[in-house]
Amino acid sequence: MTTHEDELILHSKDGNLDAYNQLVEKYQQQVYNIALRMLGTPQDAEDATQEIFVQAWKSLGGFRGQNFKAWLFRIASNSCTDVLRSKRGRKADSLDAIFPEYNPLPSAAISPEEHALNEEVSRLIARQLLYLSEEQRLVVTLADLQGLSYEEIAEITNTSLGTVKSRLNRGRANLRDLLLKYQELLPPEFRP
Amino acid sequence: MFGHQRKSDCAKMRDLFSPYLDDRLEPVDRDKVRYHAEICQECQRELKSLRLMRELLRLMPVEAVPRSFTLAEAPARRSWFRFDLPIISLESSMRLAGAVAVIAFALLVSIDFTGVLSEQSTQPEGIVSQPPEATADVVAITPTPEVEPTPVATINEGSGMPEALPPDPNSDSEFGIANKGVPETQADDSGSDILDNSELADPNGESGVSSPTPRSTTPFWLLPLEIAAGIMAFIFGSTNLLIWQRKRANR
Repeated sequence: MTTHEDELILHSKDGNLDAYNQLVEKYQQQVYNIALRMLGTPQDAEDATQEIFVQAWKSLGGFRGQNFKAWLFRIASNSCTDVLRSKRGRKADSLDAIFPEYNPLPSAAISPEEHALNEEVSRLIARQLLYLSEEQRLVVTLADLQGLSYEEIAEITNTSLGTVKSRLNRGRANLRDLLLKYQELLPPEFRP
Repeated sequence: MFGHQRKSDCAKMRDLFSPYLDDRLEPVDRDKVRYHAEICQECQRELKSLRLMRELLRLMPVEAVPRSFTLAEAPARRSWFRFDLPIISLESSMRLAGAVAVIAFALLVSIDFTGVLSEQSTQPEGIVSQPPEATADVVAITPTPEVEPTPVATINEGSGMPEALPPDPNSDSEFGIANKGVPETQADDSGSDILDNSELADPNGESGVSSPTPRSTTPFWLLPLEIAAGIMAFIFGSTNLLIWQRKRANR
């Protein structure tokens, strides 16, 4: 059975840019959020997201799989890894330097009040995420922020299910340890 | 001892905490984790804190995209039949080319000397081709343009099949390596004339034998290739030498 997405992929492979742009619109928010959590700054995430969709268009001829989302997210994770690698070459004083304060736009799914309530915590978590290793950060982002299954994450990261479980376990535990220093910022129900 | 055993159990259980929270454990393992968390206060706290962490992460807001990432124009696509050659410097290219040329030259010369290809180009031993103009009593005529020793064959009268004989010790030694390994053949004296080289070479022979010409044992393309590889090896070798001398002078 051919879904609408499959048709869009087929047309995109044939060079139909309109069909591809529909795919871009469908996935751009997820890709942008992955890039944002991986890279830390909206500007880097924006640049990386554009680059990811350009790369995906160029590589679409080689897409043979069934799961377009996993394939696209794999390009996204590789692209973010490349950006981080190039950043490591430059001199960075601290995470504050590469992750300045920013005000994220309210998500349509959350009311402004809820957003205001979570903004400080979410900013704190986003900052602490950057202290995790790239592998753990990616798995935590995909599992807990994007809600992907273990199988999808294994496909994206090209690892086994056991590795995904292990990285997720350690990533969550490390992030919790990092957040323990900021207990006063956490909502009471989340304080251990 | 028991403390170590308990710690090991806790470590094993903690590896299962995330799959447990995500409901990705088999019922047996899930019960094990649940039971362990009931009896181990430390792991109970660990499990609770991980659950809180997971919930906090899931409360993270989804950021809206700052702009649309749709493509205004289609970038050039990657060809899947093309592969990118590694980019190497001119100096490295020259070194590589020189090495390839020298190896190719050495390989071709060794092929020529060992006669590997010559053996492969000849027909199986004991089988001699017969040109269409040859008469019934004629054997072993394999015309070739070069002047080289004449192969002689015998025809076994009983079977009618030609058979190979050992090389003629009187054959001309001037043919040297090119003739090495090629069996000479001769006509069987029992039923027909023995055709020696002088007879075979005589175009007006009375025996009615077509003039056999010597067989070429070296592929015609080998010599030009040897010369070309030798010239390339010389050019690239001397260029590399010049580069090396210039670099040495600049130090």
